[in-house]
Amino acid sequence: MNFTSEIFVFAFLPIFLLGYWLSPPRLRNPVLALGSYVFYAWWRVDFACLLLLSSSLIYVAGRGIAGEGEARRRAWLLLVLGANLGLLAYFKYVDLLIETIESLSAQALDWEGALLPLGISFYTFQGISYCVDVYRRQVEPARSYLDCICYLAMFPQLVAGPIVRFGSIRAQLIARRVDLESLSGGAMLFMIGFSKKLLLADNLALLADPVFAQSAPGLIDAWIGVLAFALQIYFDFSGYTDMALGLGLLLGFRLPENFNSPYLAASIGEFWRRWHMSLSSWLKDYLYIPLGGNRGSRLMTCRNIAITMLLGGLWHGASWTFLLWGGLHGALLICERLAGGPALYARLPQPVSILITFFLLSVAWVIFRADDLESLVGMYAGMFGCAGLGSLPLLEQRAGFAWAALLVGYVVVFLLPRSAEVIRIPSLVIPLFIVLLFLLSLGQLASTSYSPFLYYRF
Amino acid sequence: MFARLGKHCALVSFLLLLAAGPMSYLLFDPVKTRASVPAPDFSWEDLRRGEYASDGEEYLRESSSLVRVLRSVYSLPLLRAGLLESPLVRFGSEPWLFYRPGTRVADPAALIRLRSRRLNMFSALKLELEKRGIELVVLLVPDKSRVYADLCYGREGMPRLKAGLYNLILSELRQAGVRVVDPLADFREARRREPAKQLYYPGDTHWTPAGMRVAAADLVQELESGGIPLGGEPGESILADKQLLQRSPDLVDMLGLDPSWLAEYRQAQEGLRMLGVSAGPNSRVGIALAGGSFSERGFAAAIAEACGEPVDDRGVLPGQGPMAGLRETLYLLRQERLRPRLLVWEFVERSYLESKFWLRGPAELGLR
Repeated sequence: MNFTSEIFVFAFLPIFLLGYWLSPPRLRNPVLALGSYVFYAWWRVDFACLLLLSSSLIYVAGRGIAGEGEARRRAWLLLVLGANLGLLAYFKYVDLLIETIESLSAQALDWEGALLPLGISFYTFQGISYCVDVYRRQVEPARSYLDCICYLAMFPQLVAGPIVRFGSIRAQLIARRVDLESLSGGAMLFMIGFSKKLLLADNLALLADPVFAQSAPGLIDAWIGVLAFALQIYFDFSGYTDMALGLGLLLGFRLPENFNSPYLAASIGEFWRRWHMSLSSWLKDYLYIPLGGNRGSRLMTCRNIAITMLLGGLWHGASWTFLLWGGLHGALLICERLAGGPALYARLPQPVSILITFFLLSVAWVIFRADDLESLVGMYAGMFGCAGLGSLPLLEQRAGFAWAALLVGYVVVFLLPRSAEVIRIPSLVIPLFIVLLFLLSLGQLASTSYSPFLYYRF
Repeated sequence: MFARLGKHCALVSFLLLLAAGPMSYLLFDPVKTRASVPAPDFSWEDLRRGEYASDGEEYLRESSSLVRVLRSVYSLPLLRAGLLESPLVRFGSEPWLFYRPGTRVADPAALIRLRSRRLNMFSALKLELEKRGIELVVLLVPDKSRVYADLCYGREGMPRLKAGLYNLILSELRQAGVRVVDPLADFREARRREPAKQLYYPGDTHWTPAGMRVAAADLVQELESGGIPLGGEPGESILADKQLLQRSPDLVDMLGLDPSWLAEYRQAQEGLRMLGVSAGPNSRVGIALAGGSFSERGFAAAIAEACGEPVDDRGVLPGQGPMAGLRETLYLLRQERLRPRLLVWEFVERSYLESKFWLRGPAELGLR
């Protein structure tokens, strides 16, 4: 089920919330678990069974890891890591492997392809963090199977994050309070996220999609497409996160923030501290630091950055373009580090640093968005003027809302506070304006067809 | 205090809007009979694969009074103010709507790149049918934006690349040795002769029975001039009659508008059905039709009426692209459940612009 679908807004959510709020506190976790599985099974029942299997293994392994005996604990950890990473590798990367073998051997293999279970990258990483944290004795294991199920399958953040650490939510799974303040904050955050997705991201797609569909767009079209996509992916993903956080508040959970105005970053390093923060910190704590972090030589640090970013890129999708995207970010981070880190940008006025960073990010987003290497080359050729000015087909379109979304989007990104700050501003007008945006979004939702979140692919 | 009031108002509004979904189902009669999407049939397999849920979701959405009201309340003022926009629909002279992706060549490079694959596909198809003693005839269906170019493009005119597309298709088909029927000139002539008679629906991408009849007459004329005998079996005259189709105009639907709210599109959709077919169950129908949504509306009946013999339309599969019906026909031929002497392929002009159909070349049809 998609947050921006009528079935979610007008059927699942009101019925679930009514059932949840009317339940006595001791029954809220069972209701949440049940609702989460209905939410997930709506997409595919068999993959809901896979989620249940994975969660059960993580729970059992967590108990084993929390026990005594270092060898036994380590064995449990290796078992659960192997199983979860194996599942992720099979469902997410086996197609890429087969395709690569086929193209290298020029022979078609008898393989029908594997369907990617929604959110598997997110719940696998969450499960790994749980087991590793229990192993490190940083957190107690879940007190019950139900707590573990709720933690891994909680529908607000199940399919596209944020990646929640068990330590940050353990106490809330045991006892949480739903008050009027959190309810109104949650409702506003959900409405903001919903509007970001429907009014901004989906309208920006009207500019970006036709450009990326072309083999060789002209200079202006290419740049419009890139600038639109840079905003589209931000509003798409941060909109989803706002909705997840808002739903969390409606249920009494305080989930971690995932974005902190990332395009205001004045360096690539800073960008990764502001963009998809739950993934960045996961990669840092469970990959970069175990690899040695920046404790060794400069060369080893660069190697660790490269490995972390390559794997981080590949986490986003099973395609060589994602590996390339991660590699480019890794290369940029290494360059920044070698050139003196923050001191490199300190010599420049901050707006210039922000603009340079945004330019580099936009160039990198092309790799992220391109369907294959061929279209990637076509886009870069267009962006750097190798395909002429082009026929400017985008300018021929009657797409006023899309152009308005581009303009408003840049104002929101560079000038306005982030959603979590907006809902804290004491004002009568802002909440009413948010309701108006929500109404408009519902109208747009009803009048347009289904459009899934970009991050569902991951 | 006002700030708190605002937040609480937002919460109450949010909850009321959420509640409007179930409440509208409980208080108002769901528009189930008007829903364009049928309720899905239950099967455990569909449930497992999530298809039951997704079809059910679509059905619930389309049968919801609330969704329909929201759509129209949102889109209608925008339409009236001339602000409504859509990536799928191009607004022509009122009230004419056109399928936007078909009005221009968005990716000329892909069109050029895939040329050899298209030619290979046409040649392989022709060869496959020849081996079975079947003549292939492609009926090229011109896009509505080509027949009504003046209403679609106005003074700016048809883009140059789009203007050349039709002839490109004709030349490629002929280069592959395929017999092609080109009804464009007759469509234009029919428009000139009777401007009031619509050959395509204003709010729909498809042709009317009148349009079908023009194309069918053209097809028969082409076959007769090519020395292909027609009207053999069953020897009785066949008539086609108009039938009412239970569907709303697709372009109006793409805009998210309820056609019942719009007088200009409140037009009955019609198709044709075959009458007077006296062919017995064992008779060998000599003409087979493969195609999609254009044929689904009774094009088989129009051909039968024009040539005097029945037409087998088991190869008509709407809504699945230009190849699905042809694949089904080839399957029936291989199974020997279909043994025509002539295969008519309804080929819609805009399908040339969709690269996905041509990427695999002959393999798309299961041919080598």
